Amino acid sequence: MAEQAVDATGASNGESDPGVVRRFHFTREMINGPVYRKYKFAINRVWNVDDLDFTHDVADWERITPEQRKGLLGVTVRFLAGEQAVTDELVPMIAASHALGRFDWVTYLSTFLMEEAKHAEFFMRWHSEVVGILEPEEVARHFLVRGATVDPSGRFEVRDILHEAVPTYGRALLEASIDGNEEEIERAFIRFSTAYNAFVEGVLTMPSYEIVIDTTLLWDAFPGLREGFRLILRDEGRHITFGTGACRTLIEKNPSYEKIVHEVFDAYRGNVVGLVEYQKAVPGLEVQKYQDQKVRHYRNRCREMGVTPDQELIDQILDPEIDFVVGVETG
Amino acid sequence: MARHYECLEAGCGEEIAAADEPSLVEAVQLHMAEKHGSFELEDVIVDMSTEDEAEAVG
Repeated sequence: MAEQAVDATGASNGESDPGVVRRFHFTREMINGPVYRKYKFAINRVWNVDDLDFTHDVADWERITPEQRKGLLGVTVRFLAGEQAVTDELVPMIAASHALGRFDWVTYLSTFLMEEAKHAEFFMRWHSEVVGILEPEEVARHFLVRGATVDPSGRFEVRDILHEAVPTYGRALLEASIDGNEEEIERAFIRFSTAYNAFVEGVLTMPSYEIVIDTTLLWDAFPGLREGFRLILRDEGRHITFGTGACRTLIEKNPSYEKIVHEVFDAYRGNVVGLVEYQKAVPGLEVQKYQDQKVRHYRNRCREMGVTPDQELIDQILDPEIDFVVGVETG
Repeated sequence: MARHYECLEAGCGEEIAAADEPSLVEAVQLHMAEKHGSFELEDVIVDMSTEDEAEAVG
């Protein structure tokens, strides 16, 4: 009887059972790829809210004026709600990555979800320890309601992409993932990721981070808040480029998906062409700078996704005639 | 390996080059701070930078 050949590990050289092979997902291509690199960066750069010191921020809160308090809270409370929303709405992307057989995406998203939860924790802790508010009823009083911001020309509607589109697109993505039709999952993935990673995280929120950082520098105050933003932004860069990179992969596979990206930006055009309520909440800032930045962020997201930017949208963002009247109502 | 990155700020388009990835991140952040009073996310710079075919630049 002939002996079966074995390799250096002692395993037989015969063909493996495909059913068993499918239980393993790591490949050399995957661990050398860009998504796994993001996972490794995330693992190597974990930070802890407990390590931040809010002592100085507490003293600063006591010395600033009621007007300054109102302006700052108009921005930070939107972050507090926003970080909870993005934590709570990420599951469809994980489910879709699983359904598409992208173990590298699932692996990376494990860090993404943890980081979003930590960002939410950071804002919860800052508001609790510095401002003294935590319960939903306490913080909701400072939330600037989007419906109170209007375009006087009547051309644009300011909607709430984070609290409307992201949950709606997320539900559609989850349903597509369960149904299992690959093209439908890919279409829903691009719609969701464009709204979540490209629009909300990648364009709309980026100037808001700068607004808070500029405010703390202008007032020479709140070093704990500024340090938290620095750490959060380090994570957000991975989140945004993961989403846009995943969209690029899918669009390269099927170029017809590009139009989905433009449909999402078009549906929420009003949110990006003018300065909205929280971007005007702090007096004394040079607000036009943040409009110019939106163009850069939009172009960056298009470059990362491999799609052609909408020049009309860029012209509208830069048009000084387009601006909105900011509502003052709070929730 | 030398790399470069194009700044897409409105009205800019400057090409920033450096000898390697860490130097490029530093150079782009300097450009953003000095020219635009802003900053760029590190992952954006890294993901959208391209390798130069020519020899490394200073």
